[in-house]
Amino acid sequence: MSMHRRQLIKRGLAGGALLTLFGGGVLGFRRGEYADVGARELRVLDEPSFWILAAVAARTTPAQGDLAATIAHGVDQALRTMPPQAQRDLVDVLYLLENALAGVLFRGSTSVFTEMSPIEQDEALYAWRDSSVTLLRGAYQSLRRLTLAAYYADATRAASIGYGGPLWAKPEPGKVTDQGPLSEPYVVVPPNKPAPATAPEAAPAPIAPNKASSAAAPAGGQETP
Amino acid sequence: MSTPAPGLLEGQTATSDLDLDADVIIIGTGPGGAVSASTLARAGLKVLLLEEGGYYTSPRFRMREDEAYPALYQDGAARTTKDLGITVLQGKAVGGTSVVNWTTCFRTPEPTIDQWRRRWGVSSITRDALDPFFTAAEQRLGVTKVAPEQMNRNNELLYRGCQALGFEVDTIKRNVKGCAQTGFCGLGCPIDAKQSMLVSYVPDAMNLGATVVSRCRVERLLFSGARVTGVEGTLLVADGTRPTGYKLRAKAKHFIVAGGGINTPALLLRSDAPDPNDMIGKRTFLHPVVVTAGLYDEPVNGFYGAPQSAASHQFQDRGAEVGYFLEAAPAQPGLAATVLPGMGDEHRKTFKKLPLTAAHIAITIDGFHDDVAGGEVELGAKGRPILDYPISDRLWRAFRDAHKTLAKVQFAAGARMVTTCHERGGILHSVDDIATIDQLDYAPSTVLVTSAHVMGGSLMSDDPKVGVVRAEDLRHKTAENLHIVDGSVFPTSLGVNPQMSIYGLAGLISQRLADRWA
Repeated sequence: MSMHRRQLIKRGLAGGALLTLFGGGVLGFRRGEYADVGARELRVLDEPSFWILAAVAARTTPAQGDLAATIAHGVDQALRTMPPQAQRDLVDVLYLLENALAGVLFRGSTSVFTEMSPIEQDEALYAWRDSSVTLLRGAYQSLRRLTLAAYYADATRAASIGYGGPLWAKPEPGKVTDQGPLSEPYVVVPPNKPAPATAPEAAPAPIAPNKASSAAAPAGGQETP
Repeated sequence: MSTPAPGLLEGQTATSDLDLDADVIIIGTGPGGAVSASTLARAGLKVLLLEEGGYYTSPRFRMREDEAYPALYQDGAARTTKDLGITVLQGKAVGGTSVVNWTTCFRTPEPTIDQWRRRWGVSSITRDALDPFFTAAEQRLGVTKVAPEQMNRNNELLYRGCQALGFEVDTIKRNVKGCAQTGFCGLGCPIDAKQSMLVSYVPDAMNLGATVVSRCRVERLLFSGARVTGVEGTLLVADGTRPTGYKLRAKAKHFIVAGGGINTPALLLRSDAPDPNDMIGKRTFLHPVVVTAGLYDEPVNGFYGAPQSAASHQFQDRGAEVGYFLEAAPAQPGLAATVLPGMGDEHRKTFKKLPLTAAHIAITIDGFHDDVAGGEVELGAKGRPILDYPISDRLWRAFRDAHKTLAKVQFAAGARMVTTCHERGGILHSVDDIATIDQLDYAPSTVLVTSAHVMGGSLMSDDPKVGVVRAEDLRHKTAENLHIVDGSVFPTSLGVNPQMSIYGLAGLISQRLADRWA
């Protein structure tokens, strides 16, 4: 293994030095190209597990380099809505992936996930995918699903596969603050009183159900009614 | 202690602890809670509804998956069973799962009610008793049958494939008024066409004097002997991810838990509720779903158009084997990407053909066979629920059979290639390849198994030695002022999409309670 790689991996130390990954001639992360992860606060993951997840995302999704780190941030955000047990389990799974592959047979000279070449990383993931240990298979599927969902749930990325996204652009609602409301206050209408007049929200004309003969939704654009 | 004014209080906005009282406290604003609240409020009772989810309304339903899943779903749409083998889609919002469901309405089938009577001691719930309440709910919610020409291509392919094979198939009924066929039911209807609880029974209840407090996670019911004396809740920030620091305490004469499958049993467990028959959390059903994705030579665009408009019950009752019914599923990409197997380039190659892909599902009917008895809810860290759902050989067999059926339907409809979403399943190119399904190893996390219908865990029975609640009034066996009115009371899975069954049962029971309490 290159000296470069050995020097670059720092994991879980006080102060949490950033991991940097070099793939040699293969796509990888280059620290300088990505804004310090501290600048975008991690909510569930710690820095080492963040970078392990970014490395996973670079294998499971089309994302590479900076985008893979963006996907890892997306997963971190999504993890905020999961229960504490599931959050802890995912961090444990990432550390397990990084550190505990020695038991799995590899041709390479390292069993540390983030130091492996992309091909070796794929093999490591497939080893979990096909493992006889149920929880390792489950862990692989969790990582796969979380990263792919974070990638494709963004309609602009899904445009690349022919998804037209929201059918029209609804106005941006107010930003959500911790203690602010999510919606306009509900106006109680007691029975036998007329409802207050409200302008109905502009609705599109009914969209013809999809048939082979009708136009497919345009790729990468938004249809206006 | 104060009696709150009618309307909706978003719990995150409270700037102090809340101490409230009411005649009836209802926990959960989904189908069970909302219908019950409306009936009881109409009878003149002061009703307080407590909801962990947020008060999201249609300005926030922007057809964006990255907004909807964290906001409107349990565990950000990433809820799974304990061994990670089954992914669970369940709602969390004012209006409950009805805000994100796919609008399919079926009355409770007679064979299901027969099973409850024969095997689970349910004599006081009959189709005759339920029918008027089904009718009332269907009227309130604009339930209408889909005309065949309204089906999107994804559903039409299921329909035509079934017809070609001589399988029973029909269009379904949906709870929509003025539907524009956008296809975004699962992300919150952007135009309030879907008649979820959010736009129907919840406002009905508030107009009749009920109060809803959202972003209030009820931590426990407080018991004194055999009675519930109050509830304790934590108020959460707007996005629900952590407490604000303020608490809610509330008292009432009567308590109705309507948190749905998984969450209702979890609340009872957290509260150390009496459990004389040791059944709380047990027999939790998922209608476990398996999927096929078929590739066609034409645009399918399964991410647009009403997600479900057809269903086949050809395989509903398979005797000693587990039955299943066939429907279509929406294919918005954030979700579809997790359903299709594979990763990296291999995944990309298939996934970029999503617009040409039809997604069809088989919904297996758990709870009718002794070795397909559902799962059990346990408490994990911080009292959050975990569902342990082991899959028996009989159920794996059903998944295999259902895959073969679904593949036949896809090919009959004209598919060029079909995947069963099994990681080692490869691609089927014709009906001749369907036999390869028999060579696959079916085990947790080898093949996609998912769920959008969580039922059971607080079994109802008129037999005092069976279950958690009495069937006649859904009252807890021993706690005199505690009722459970939601889908967690079903002794088996339903065999049809659940929402209408809950509307009917909640309508029936809440009327019985209103007559008693008002």
